[in-house]
Amino acid sequence: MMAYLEVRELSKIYDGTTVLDNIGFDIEEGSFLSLLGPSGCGKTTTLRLIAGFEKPEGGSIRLNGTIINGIPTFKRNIGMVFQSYALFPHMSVEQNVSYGLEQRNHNHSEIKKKVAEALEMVRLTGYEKRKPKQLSGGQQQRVALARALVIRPSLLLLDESLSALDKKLRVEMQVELRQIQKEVGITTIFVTHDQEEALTLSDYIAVMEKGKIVQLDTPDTVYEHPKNSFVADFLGQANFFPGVVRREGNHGYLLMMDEKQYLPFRCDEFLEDGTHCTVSVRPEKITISDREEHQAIRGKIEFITYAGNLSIFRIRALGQEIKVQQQNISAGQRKFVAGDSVFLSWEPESTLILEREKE
Amino acid sequence: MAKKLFGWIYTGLLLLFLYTPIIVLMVMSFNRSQYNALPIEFSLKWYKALAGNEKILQATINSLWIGAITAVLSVILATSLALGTNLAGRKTRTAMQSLVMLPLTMPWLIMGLSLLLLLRSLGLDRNFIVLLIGHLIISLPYSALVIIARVRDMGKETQEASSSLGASDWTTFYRVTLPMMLPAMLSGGFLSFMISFDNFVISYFLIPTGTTTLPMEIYSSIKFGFTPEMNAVATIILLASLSLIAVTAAVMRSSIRALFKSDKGDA
Repeated sequence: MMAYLEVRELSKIYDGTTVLDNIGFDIEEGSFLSLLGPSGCGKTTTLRLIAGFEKPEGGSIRLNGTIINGIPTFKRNIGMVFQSYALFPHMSVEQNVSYGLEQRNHNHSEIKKKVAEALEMVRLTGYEKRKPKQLSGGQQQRVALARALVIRPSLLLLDESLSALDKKLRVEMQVELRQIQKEVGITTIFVTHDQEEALTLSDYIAVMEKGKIVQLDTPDTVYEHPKNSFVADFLGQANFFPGVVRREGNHGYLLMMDEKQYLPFRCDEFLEDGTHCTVSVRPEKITISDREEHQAIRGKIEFITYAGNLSIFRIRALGQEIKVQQQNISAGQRKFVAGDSVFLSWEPESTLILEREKE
Repeated sequence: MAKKLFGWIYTGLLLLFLYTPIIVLMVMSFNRSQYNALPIEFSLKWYKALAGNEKILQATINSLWIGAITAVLSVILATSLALGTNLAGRKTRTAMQSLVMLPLTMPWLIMGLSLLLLLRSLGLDRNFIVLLIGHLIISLPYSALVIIARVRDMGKETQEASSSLGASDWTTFYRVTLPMMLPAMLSGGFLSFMISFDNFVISYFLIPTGTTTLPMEIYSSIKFGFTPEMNAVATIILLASLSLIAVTAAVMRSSIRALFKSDKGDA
């Protein structure tokens, strides 16, 4: 069974620097993949290679069964929405959207009909005669989306397309984008450095670092089971404890961090004595209590940030600062203050074992 | 208050310094007296004389032609240079663009002389081709400056968007790139035209014997004694270029505004 889009061993070198290092991935038809990573990780380059704006040094891109490496951009039938939208400033909204159809030699009435449909889809009916500069950022973004979708592309590529919008509009556009994408059923690749955006929009997330895909999986898998510290840290927040494992009884372990510090923890998987690893736990999985519990870590609250629905604690324990987030469920719940001595604990399944190396 | 007053006086003096000569010249072109005598007695005498002056008219036509051809060639060269180097790597781009700009720093005298020496060593006579080449070298940097800046501003994304929508390189060029560059091409061409039209030194060295340009003609007329005819010529040139600027600005204003405001998001 061949996937809709297959990327194999794709490499790109700029001025002697390897920007993409043998990456490969598959996308099923109709699904939404986010390429997520810090700037310079190669995510935009991947998109540009798929669009055909750049030539790869090696590897292949197969779209719907055909290798498209040698096909020039204008014959690839790909819809692209740029970060700057790249609308044609000298053309009206209508002309922008009909541009792609004109290249495909559709007849006049058909173009008119399709453009009207596309503008209706992005809720811009009535704006046909406006020039891009007369539109707000969000409207320009929607024109760019309509322009890309009206040609019924085989693939929709979005390059940081929402980053230029302010937060409220961005969230609105995220929902709209996802609705339209599902409605049209178009296979989409979305480049972003915004983890929240990637989590809310995608069927799959590929986390990239230094020209490689570190992990490609569903959003919840990437979040709950990150492959390494980079993924855990980039997608959400995490506390990291490096050390060596020592078994304690049947289900418990101790992580020896140095001569003085050790972290008691439980986890669902079996670890051998002497395993080097990083134990990680996300801030929202940690429970703070003022009563000592079995295997709880003793710490001292250094700083509390109140964020409405959440309180964010910075707690000094095990010689480092531990981040903890708690939902403010009820107004009457126990209030901690800076300086309190507390005990931290979490469920065994919340323990993440990263960078495991056997001794 | 005193500070404000001082500011106005200062500005007034500065403007007076800049524009007095030009205003005097324009006024004197309407004065009947040959010796700029006062009070002014209005007359179109010098304009009539000018209309009958075959030499000046022919020289003006020559200058207009040379300027126009130079401007068109400059714009074509500058546009292809800007677009071409935009595709090249950063080093090539910088190198090419600096090389084209270099004549800006070179004295025209040296430029004219070197072209003349080149002709001599090739055993050729002064001719229009070399004259045009000379004019092109000195006026190309001006259109290049404007056009390269525009291409850099535009970025590559609109062109990429066009090709992603199915337009071939040629379609992209004439439907997207060219319209977006047009204002810069017009103003670049205008600059180049003015540089060429105004030039004396290069023409002096390279023009075929027996032909003149307007700046050369003015220069030689003055040598044989000044007549207010020259005031009239200067006034016409001045008014012509002012109205040309005004028309260009009016025509281009909307499109310039459209171009510069719309793609604020360029990153």
